[in-house]
Amino acid sequence: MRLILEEGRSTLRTMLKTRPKSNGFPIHFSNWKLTTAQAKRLHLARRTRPPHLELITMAGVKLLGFWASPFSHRVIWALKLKGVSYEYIEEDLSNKSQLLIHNNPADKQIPVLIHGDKAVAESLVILEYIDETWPHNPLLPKGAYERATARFWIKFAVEKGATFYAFYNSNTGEEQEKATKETVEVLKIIEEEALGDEKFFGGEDIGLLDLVLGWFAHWFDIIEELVGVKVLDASKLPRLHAWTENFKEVPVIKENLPDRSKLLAYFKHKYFAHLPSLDN
Amino acid sequence: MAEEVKLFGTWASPFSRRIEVALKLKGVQFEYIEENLSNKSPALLKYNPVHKKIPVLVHNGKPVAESLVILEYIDETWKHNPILPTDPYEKAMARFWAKYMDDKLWPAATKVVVSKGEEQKAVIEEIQEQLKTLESELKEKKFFGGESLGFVDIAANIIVFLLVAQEALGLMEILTEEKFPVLHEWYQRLVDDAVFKECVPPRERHLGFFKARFGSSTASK
Repeated sequence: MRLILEEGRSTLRTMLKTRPKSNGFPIHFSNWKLTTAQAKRLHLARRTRPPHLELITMAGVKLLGFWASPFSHRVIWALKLKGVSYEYIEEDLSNKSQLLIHNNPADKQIPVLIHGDKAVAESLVILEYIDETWPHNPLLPKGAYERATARFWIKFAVEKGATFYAFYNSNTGEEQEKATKETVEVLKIIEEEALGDEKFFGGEDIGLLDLVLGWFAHWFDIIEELVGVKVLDASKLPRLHAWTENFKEVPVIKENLPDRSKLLAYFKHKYFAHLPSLDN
Repeated sequence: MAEEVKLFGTWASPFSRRIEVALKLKGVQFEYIEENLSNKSPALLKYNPVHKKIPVLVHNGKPVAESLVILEYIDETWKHNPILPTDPYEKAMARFWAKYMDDKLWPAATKVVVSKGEEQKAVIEEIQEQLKTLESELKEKKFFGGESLGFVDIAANIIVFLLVAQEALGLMEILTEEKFPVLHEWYQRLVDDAVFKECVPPRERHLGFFKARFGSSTASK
């Protein structure tokens, strides 16, 4: 700690020698042309906390998210697994903040990770960014082939979002039947090919694919309840079902799931809102 | 150990062509197998049982599928002439924009060839919005990858296919120099690049392909 403060002091001395000329107005640090190294040392000196608290990051981390979103939660889980401290900012999706619009102008969607002055959008991109920036407790395997396999299944899970959406949004009995059948097929492939006999998709411990599929462990049964069709049960998909139980038992996950009754009410509102023929 | 690299692809697929660019940039010797998608080979079905799609890269007997996944695999396996940056943030940006090509530009491009009249005009406008977004991301750079072709430039090969389709179907010009001064210049650099230009479908055949498949729909000028 002393060393950090010393470094901070010497950085400050250098900065004072090379500071831009003042026109009588106070000069904020942000106007000074600091080298990245100087900025890091100064920030660290100002922000150093006792070692037993959370991991110190060189620059602040913010997460723009939405409480009911599984995409948002993937990022929370990854940050917590890495022990990275961050500020969570809840977005009102019907009234998006300037911070969100400014930091993700391309599609203005959450989650967005802001790390110092850098913004990263798209949950999958954010997850890999987190894994590479804080490399301890790796979420992806080491070997290139194993990583390619994990990424393949991540893409598969994302692509099949349309199938699950159809399961949730079918308008007729016939559509529902078709969507249910396709959903079961997809889940069988995931169980058979991606999970196999492992406890988690990541093997002994959870990895990136577990986080991406995490919504099955908590959000999916709410959807099943609303639709009135049970798909992911212990008799039809024993290994995948066991995975949902194991996944929810992992401390970081267990402590970071949205309240189930709140989630049910939220999706119920959305579900019945889209079925105009039902009285609500 | 002798390296065995096979690529299963098709001549008219941008996803397949992406892999050729990456392998050639790295100077990796590979065997190319042209697939007939209406009569897929047993090998393809064996190597990509889940999707049965191309491209599939098979490296020493181990298959890798999904074009962007394959590109990352290639970059991690043959480390010279990198196509992805090393800095995690720059890498994240590259992944974001490559994903943008597949998630936004590609669906719009597939819609434009099958739509007609007003609907087609609307899709073209949507594509132009996307190109504007891409242009603001490119800024002053020579390529999205910086001084040389990178991950995003390779993924952007979809634009080549879009513009060939535009010409084949007699559509209004999409990537005009006037509307997109910066992107237009980048595009010229891309298609002139020594490696990239070896990996686009032969022009006449490609034009013929679009005309035959989508040609009867009315063109909007």
